[in-house]
This record gives sequence, C-alpha cells and structure tokens, in this order.
Amino acid sequence: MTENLLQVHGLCKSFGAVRANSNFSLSVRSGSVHALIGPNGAGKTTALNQLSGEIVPDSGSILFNGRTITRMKSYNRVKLGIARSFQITSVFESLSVEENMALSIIAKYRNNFKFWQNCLSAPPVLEGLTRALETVGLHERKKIQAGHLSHGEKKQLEVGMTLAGKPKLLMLDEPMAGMGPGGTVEMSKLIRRLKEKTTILLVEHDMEVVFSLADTITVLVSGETLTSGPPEAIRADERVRAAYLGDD
Amino acid sequence: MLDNTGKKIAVSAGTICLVLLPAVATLFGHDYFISLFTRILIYALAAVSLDLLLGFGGLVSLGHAAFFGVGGYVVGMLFYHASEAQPLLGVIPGSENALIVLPSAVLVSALFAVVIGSLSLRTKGMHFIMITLAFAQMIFYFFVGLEKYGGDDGLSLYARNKMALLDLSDDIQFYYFCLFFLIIFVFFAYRLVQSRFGLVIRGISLNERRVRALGIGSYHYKLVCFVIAGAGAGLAGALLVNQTEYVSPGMMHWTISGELMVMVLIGGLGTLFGPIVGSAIFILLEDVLGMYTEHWMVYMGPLLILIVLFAPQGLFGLLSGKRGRDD
Repeated sequence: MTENLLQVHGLCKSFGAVRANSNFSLSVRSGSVHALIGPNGAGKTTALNQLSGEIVPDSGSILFNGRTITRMKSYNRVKLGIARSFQITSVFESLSVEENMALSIIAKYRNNFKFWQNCLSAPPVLEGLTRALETVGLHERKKIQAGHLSHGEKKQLEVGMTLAGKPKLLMLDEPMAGMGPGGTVEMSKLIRRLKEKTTILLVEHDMEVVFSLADTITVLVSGETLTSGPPEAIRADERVRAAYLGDD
Repeated sequence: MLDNTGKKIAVSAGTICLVLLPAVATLFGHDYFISLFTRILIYALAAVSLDLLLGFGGLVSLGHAAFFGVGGYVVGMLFYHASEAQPLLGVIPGSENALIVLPSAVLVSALFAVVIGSLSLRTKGMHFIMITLAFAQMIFYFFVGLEKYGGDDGLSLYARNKMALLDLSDDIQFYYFCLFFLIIFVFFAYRLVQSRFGLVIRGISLNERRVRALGIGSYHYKLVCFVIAGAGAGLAGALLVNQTEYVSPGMMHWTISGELMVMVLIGGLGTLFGPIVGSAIFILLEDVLGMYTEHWMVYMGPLLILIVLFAPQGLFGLLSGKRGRDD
C-alpha cells in the first residue's frame, strides 16, 4: 500500500497572461492524508480543478492508479475513483437531504435512464442511503430541504455525497472554510474516520487542522511546488516559513 | 409537487371539472365551451411538456413551437397524401388513421428534437435560448416555402383522423380523446420528475458542475429530456390540427413558443399541473378579452407581471401557501 495512487508531474496552466500553475508536481501515497497548502492565490484550486478534470492542463501529466488521465473528462475520472468536494458548498439546495444523497449514490451507475420508479425506491438507493446518511450523521435530517441545513451540516452532506461513490481518492477543497470551532472539530473527526477507508487529498487553510491530520504536506507557492514532506519537516523548513507560515 | 392538501384538492377538483365539463356545457346549451376547452387541453399538453424543460431541466428553450408545428404538419401532410392517393416522396403512403398518424407525429417531432437538441445543448444560457429560437424560425420558414403544402396559407384537412370505436369528428368524443392524452402525459411526467432520471435532471438544472463532479455526464440526460418534451409538444400539435382541421406555419411561429412559456409562468414553473391552469387562463382571457378588443395582450401583460413578481411559483404554486420556488 505504499505505492503512489496519484502521480502528478510538471503541470502547467495559464489563463491568458496569468500563470496559475507552473511545474506543479505531487505524489500521493495510497492510504495517506495528503495536504496541499499555500498562500492565497498560490494556485491550489486551479491545481485541484486539473486533477478533477474540470480544467485541462497546458502541459504536464497526471497518473492515477498507473493510468494517464491528463485529458480525461471529469465524470469519467469519477468512475475511476476520484471524487471531490467544493470550496463553496454546493449541495443541491432545493432538493431534500435524502435526494441529494440518492443522486450521489446513483451517479456511479451508467444507466439512470429509468423514468418510472421513484428515485428513492431504486435498489442501489434503498441499499446504500441509510448508511450513507448515518456516516455523516444526517439520518434524522433526511426529509429536510438541503438549503435549510446549517453551514456545518451542508459541509457534512457535501462530504457524504462525495463519499457515496466509494472513491479511491477523495479531494476535499477547504472543508473547514466558514465553519465555527464546533464544526471544525466535527469535520476533523469525520476526516479521521474516512482516513481508514480512502486516500485523501486535502486543500486547507486552517494550519492547525493540516498539521494534526496530514501524513504528508505539499507546499505550493506561486503555482509551483516548493517542497513536500512530513509535517515536522515542513514546519522546520525555512523557505516555507518565509513564503507562508511567517505571515501567520 | 403534491406535497400538501391544498394542491391535492386542487388537482382532484380540476380533474373532476374537466371530466364533467362536456356534460354541463351540453346541459346549458353552451356547446362552444367544449371546443374552447379542447383547445385549452391541447395547449396545456404542450405547456406541460415545456415545463419539463423550463421547470425541471433548467433549459430555457424559445423554440418549443417548432415541435408543436412539426407534429401538426405530420397530420396535415399524411392527410394530404392520403386524399391525393400519392405517397410522400414516393414511398410513404398517407394516412387518416389516428393510430398511425399520432404515433408518427410523436416520432417525427422527437426526431426533430434529437437533431435540434444535440446541437443546441452544446451551448448554455443565452446562447441556448437563441439557438433554439433560430432552429424554430428556420423550420418556420422552411414550411412557409413548402408550396406543395400551401406554403404561407397552410393546408386544410376537410376531416379529422379516423379511429376504430371512436368518432373523432364528434366534439365531445374528441374532447375526451384530448383529455385522455393530457392525463396520460401529466401522469408520465409526474412519475418522470421523481424517477432516477428526473433526479439527475433536477440536479443538472440546479448545479450542472456538481452533477458532473459526482460522475454524471450531463449531456445525454439533457438531450433525452429535450426529446421527451419535443415529443409531447408534437403530440399536442397533432391534436390541434385534428381539432381545427387546418395546419399552417403560424403554429410554429416564435410567438407561439412565447405563449407556451407565458402559460407555464402563469400556472407555475416546475409544478407540472400549473401549466394546465396557465393554459386555461391564457386561452379564456384571449377568448373573453378578444371579444372586446383586438389588443387583449394589453391586459395579459400586467397580469403576467403581477404573477411573476408576487407568485414566482405561479397560480398553482400559490396553493402551497408559500411564495418562492422552495417548497
């Protein structure tokens, strides 16, 4: 299990004259929690968008599970086992909690062209819905419209939906953003539990969280990989301090 | 959609009214109401099919009348070739049999929807509105140019389609014939929006990027939704041509697309039953106000503005006691 699940090499992406990523490289070990940090505007989200396939890189390569996926469409990457959550919570606000979860459960099936049976009584939904909701602690809230959940609960739902496809790699884009202290604790617990099931790539601002959860940290500065290593090494690295941590 | 008692009562009461209407109209000697309400049922069918696109798929199409007209022309052209006893393009024999004509109309308008949809759905937002409008106008002018079938003047049919056991030329039987199709289509649509397919479609309309991030390629779902809506409009068009025994390019003019959209908005976007209410109000107002003034739209305009401002979920949505789309 020590091989690399995700291998990113020399990724470059420019938007017009703006270089969002240049020479971004990353290796994520199977079963680890890998954090991607960097100051604002370092290109973390652009990097994540390229990994999830929403943006096609200008150059470089992405290897997932030994397979090149550099130019693969995002929904096909999901089928290989790459899932992501969003920085800005994007649950389907006017659907109920259970419909949100049901949608993420049926997402991995190719044939959803079923026009008659109620979506909540579809066999894969019946089988997985309860457990999926319990994993993120939202079973009691399942009939509620997702837009009426608290911010923390939305984030939990969001992560739960991302998990429903049983991904091999889970990419979380700032799961703590906008959460109060209680929510952060809840989410940290959830991520710790998830760690046993899947590999996690975490983009996060909250340094306390990153250093307590991550096995490996990659630091991104000006769109480029500055360094990569275990938390202790990163904490001790002078260049990282200069570029990033010193600001704190 | 039927999540509260008010709506359930409204739907049941509405259904009973529509079923009893011919009897009451005959009793009071107002036979005119039967043909007026037949027209309402037919437009309601087209409006419900448009609601699948607008209200559930989030696809604002301004070319829905194209399918309405294509369905109508299938009836007209098959009738023409049957009465001339000369096959269409030398191979397709004409027909007056409703069991052949109506399915053909549905099929042909669905095929048009496949072609138009597969190209239009590559665009989004304003571009999608414009490209569907452009396709509809293209088809409109194509039929204007078809001299063989009357061109601008259209084509008269002299008779309705025929069917075993039913006499469609009888207005009461034809009314129930249309009511049957409306009920079937609404029931199908009602199941559809709650099905797996419907859940995906609703998800796409709310946040397409998120749906793709979940692993669903959205394009084919949108296309199928577009085709189902197109087929529904085609059926409605075929029924309208049967009622009026006349078809012309006017049926697919873009103002008809606009009228269908207004019906959906008056009745309630994304409510399925609302567009039926919308169709009834629109056509009744057109009929009543039209008796006094040619410019009846002057009164329709303010009504539409009031509804859009104060009842975004339309008149049917008002029944839930809440205002916004969130109920």
